[in-house]
Amino acid sequence: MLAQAGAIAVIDTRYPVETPDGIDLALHPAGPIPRALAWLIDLIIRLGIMIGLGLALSVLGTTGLALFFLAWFVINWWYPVLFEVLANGATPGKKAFGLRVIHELGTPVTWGPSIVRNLLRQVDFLPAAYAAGLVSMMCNRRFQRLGDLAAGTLVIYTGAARSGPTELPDGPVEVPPLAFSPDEQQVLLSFAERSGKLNPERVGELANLLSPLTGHSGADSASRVAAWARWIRGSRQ
Amino acid sequence: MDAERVRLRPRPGAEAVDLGLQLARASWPRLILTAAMFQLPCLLLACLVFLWQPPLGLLVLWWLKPSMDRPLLHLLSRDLLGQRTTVGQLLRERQQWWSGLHLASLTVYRLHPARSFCLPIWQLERLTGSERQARTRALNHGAGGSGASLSFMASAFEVVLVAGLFALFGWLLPSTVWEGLNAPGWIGPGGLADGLWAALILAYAVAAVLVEPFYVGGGFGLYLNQRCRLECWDLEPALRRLAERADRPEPAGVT
Repeated sequence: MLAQAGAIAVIDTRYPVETPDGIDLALHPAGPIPRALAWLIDLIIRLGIMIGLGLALSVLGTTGLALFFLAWFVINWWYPVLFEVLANGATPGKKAFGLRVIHELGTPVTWGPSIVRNLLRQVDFLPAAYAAGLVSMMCNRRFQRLGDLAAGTLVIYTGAARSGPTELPDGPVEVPPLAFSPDEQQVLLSFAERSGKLNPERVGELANLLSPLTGHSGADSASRVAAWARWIRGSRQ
Repeated sequence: MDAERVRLRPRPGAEAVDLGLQLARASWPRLILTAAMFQLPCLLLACLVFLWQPPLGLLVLWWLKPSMDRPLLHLLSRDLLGQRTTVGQLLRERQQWWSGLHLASLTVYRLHPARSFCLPIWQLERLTGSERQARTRALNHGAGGSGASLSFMASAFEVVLVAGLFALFGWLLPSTVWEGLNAPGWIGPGGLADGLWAALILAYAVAAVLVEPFYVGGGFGLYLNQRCRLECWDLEPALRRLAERADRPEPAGVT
């Protein structure tokens, strides 16, 4: 409805996919900022583990050193893979920022792709400090680094931040005066739901736009729209 | 303003920054060209200062970045309206983006943690005095953290690109050149060698040109999102259209 911009694609952060079982999903790929911060948290966690292990194993002498290098290998290479596959796509750092690794088609990430995307960190790191990964992320609209492109994976925001429809406060119910299209009904609903969070002046300003429909102005106009919204929601008195 | 090019809705802060990154991505060639154009005189000035005090050359480049942000935001805001602005038009319209708290953004607000988020308020809304302060405070509600982490990470990404450029040139230079450069002598008791400062200044100039368009874009995305969250700005065009058909009984789509 808003997308009448001719040949130019509408810019959005939502990326629609159809899952193999035919369900339309809207994924929200995450950009470089939360991902880099999540990486930083994971780095701190891994360093903490290595320092703790180093201190604990130092009492064992040479055997301890051998165990330490073994642990280093496991933690550096398997930390992200194990968390991504076994902990719902999120290392602790990703979880802290509400991120999750998934397959491009919206399905959970499996061993193969997770191993590929984490092995290819070496390539993304080139020539230094993940410069290649950063450039790659900004070169495609789903913010995929080279490892993600190779493995067919995405890092998305999890649904936690995406709440469902908010409740409308109780009040009178009124039949809308016109046969509104679904899009128009959605606009009225959104306005009624969200006006609770706006300052009253602004609500009045927006409700005044609808005066030709409501026959009122300001707050009265807004409460009339709310009454229609309740009807659209299915309330009947 | 009527934004048809971008799907606006209230988003969480991080995603609003991502929207801004996508806005910048959509016009990146013009943005980077513009940034480079404005970086050139800054680089010249930095070189002059470098001849006097090498480290201060780098400081000059860093300090003047808010001036480079202004034409970038002007381009982005015009793009949002579907008005593709060429570099020539940009120069003709300079009084529109050059003023609007420019001096303050280079001095008292230079270290503002959410600089690119506040820039649209300073540059596009053109309020003054207490009105502007109240407006900034109102719009900051719930977005200051995202704006600050955007600034912090933009600096981090500049460092990433500088390190990347250094490493890349390190590989590309033949070993005979390396021997002539006397790398071990670069970091001595007297600080960094002048050659290293010169290389840092050049690499930083390039990194800033690459990062700044996205930094400004991210802040603009956050600003647009705040207007949606706090003012339902995204619903305004649809509400106007609804009012227009008050006297038409059929739904718009069914004809």
